[in-house]
Parts: sequence; structure tokens; C-alpha cells
Amino acid sequence: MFKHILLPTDGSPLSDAAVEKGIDFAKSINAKVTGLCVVPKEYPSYYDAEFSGGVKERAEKERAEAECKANAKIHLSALAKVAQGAGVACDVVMETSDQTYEAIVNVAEQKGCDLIMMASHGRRGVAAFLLGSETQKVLTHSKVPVLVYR
Amino acid sequence: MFTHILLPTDGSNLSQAAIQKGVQLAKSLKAKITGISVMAEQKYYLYQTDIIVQVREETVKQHKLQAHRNLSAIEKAAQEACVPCETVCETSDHPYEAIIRIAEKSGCDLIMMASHGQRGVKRASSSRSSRCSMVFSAGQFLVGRHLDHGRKLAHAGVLKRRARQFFTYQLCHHGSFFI
Repeated sequence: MFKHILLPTDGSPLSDAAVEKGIDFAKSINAKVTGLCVVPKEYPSYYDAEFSGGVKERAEKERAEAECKANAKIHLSALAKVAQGAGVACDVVMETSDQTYEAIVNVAEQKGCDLIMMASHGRRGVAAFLLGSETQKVLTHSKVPVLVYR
Repeated sequence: MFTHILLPTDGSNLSQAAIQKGVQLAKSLKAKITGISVMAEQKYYLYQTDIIVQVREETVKQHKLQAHRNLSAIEKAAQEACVPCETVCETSDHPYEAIIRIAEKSGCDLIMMASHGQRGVKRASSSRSSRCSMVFSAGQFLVGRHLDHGRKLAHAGVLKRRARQFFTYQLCHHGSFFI
């Protein structure tokens, strides 16, 4: 029924568990998977230029972005390895976006995925209000079915 | 991988579409399904005027009829696809709680339900079961979304909101409510 599953990951243990489940599921229905890791985009700040010409801040941001990208690569290669181990066809994508959910929804549409499978940290109360849930936003905005692993 | 799928329904077209998808999935996975329809609880009030009692009885009757209609749609879809199916009718003020309880009780490993996908104010003001159940549950959730129905049914969720305890779902749907 589902042919192509999108597996967004943030590298958290919860996400890892969802990825494993997703690959299991893909195997049981002979689907292929696409792993996705979204790197937050760093924008030059208005204040950066005020002090030290913004050189230090820019360098700091570049370093942070490089680190995020390196981490994303690690998560994605781990995902690819699990998929390979299970014998599931796998593709990985790294996206840079300041809105994680948007990147997930867009990649799902671009790649023609018919299911998004992701974990949810399940924050409640104040934590949910402050941090929110990317999964929640994906659920609201995606036209593709979403399987939430809890 | 999934052996027992729970299909909650509220009778909306969006729900119907999710049921069709759920039955298809159950067939392809050789899983069984359990359909559930949750009716709003009818509370007793301080001022028991005749009209309230009458309206409540009528409402309960209507709810039951509607629930049976919704569930028979699931049974029919399952029968056509040759998928083993049973149905449950629950009464609860919070559909998400009933959905989770039944999922745990009957050992479902997947809940597949539609989401009206409301945003902004509509989302804040309407009861949205799939949002709630997702956050509180320990199971897994497959939330189906359908392009065609997305926005059309958004108003149904708003109508479902209980502005007063006896401002009921069915009454809203019949276009006559009182506060």
C-alpha cells in the first residue's frame, strides 16, 4: 500500500527508535525509504555588524552550521546503515531550513513519499507551549499521511 | 508488522476516507481491525426542566443511531475487503481518552485516524481528538490526510466544541442549539 516512506530524524534516541521501526515497516511492506535530516539555517543578525564588524559572530555561526551538518551526516549515515542491514532501498537527504516542518513536508512532496514516519517527543504543558512539536506541525501541514511513533 | 488496527470514526467524510485507507492497509498487512465511535456524555444538570430531559433523551438516541451508522460503515468496508472486524461504541466527554483506552484494552498496535488539520484559531478553539491522542498515547498513530477534504470539513470540528455542557454535537448538526 505504501511504496516510499520518509523518515525524518533529529538523531535523538526517540528518533532512532522511530527510524528502526520505520525500516522494519518498510521491509514488511517492500517499500523504499528516504532519510531526512534538517539543519537549522543561521541568518546574519542585525547586531552582528555592530561589534567587531561581525567577523567573530559570522565565524561562530559558520562553525555552528558546520557542526550541525556534520552531525546530520552522522545521523543519516547511521540510518543508511540500518536500512542496508535490513536490505531496504534507502536514499538520504539533508536540508537546510529554519522551519523544520516545512522542509519535511516539502521533501515528502518532492520525493513523492506516500508516508511520513516520525517520532514525537510528546511534550505537554509549558514545554509544549515553548518548544512546540515539529511532528505536530508536520501533522497539520502535510497532505501525506503521517505515522507518529510513540 | 501491525496486527491490529484501531479505526476511530466520527462519521465525517474525512473519517470515511481514513476508514477506506485503514481497511486497505489492514488487508495488505493481514491485520484485523476494530472500529470505534465515541459518543458525547450526557450529564445531569442542576436545573432539570422537562425540556432539557427530553432533549437529552432525544440527543442520546440520535447519538446512538449516528454511532451505529458510523460503525456499520466500517463493518461494511471490512466485509467487502474480507478483513476481520469488530466494533465498539463508547461514551466519553473526551473522545481521545476513550480511543486510547480502547486501543490499550483491545491490544491495538496502530491507531489510524483522520485529522481535520485545523490551524490557528480554529485549532485552538476546537476539540481535536487526533491531536490530543497523539500526545498522550503510548501506541502508534497513523494519521491519514486527504488532499480533497482538508479544509472543507474544518468547520465540523468547531461545531463540536462544547460551549456549554448541554451544547451538544448532535444539536449543532441539526442546526438548533440552545445555551
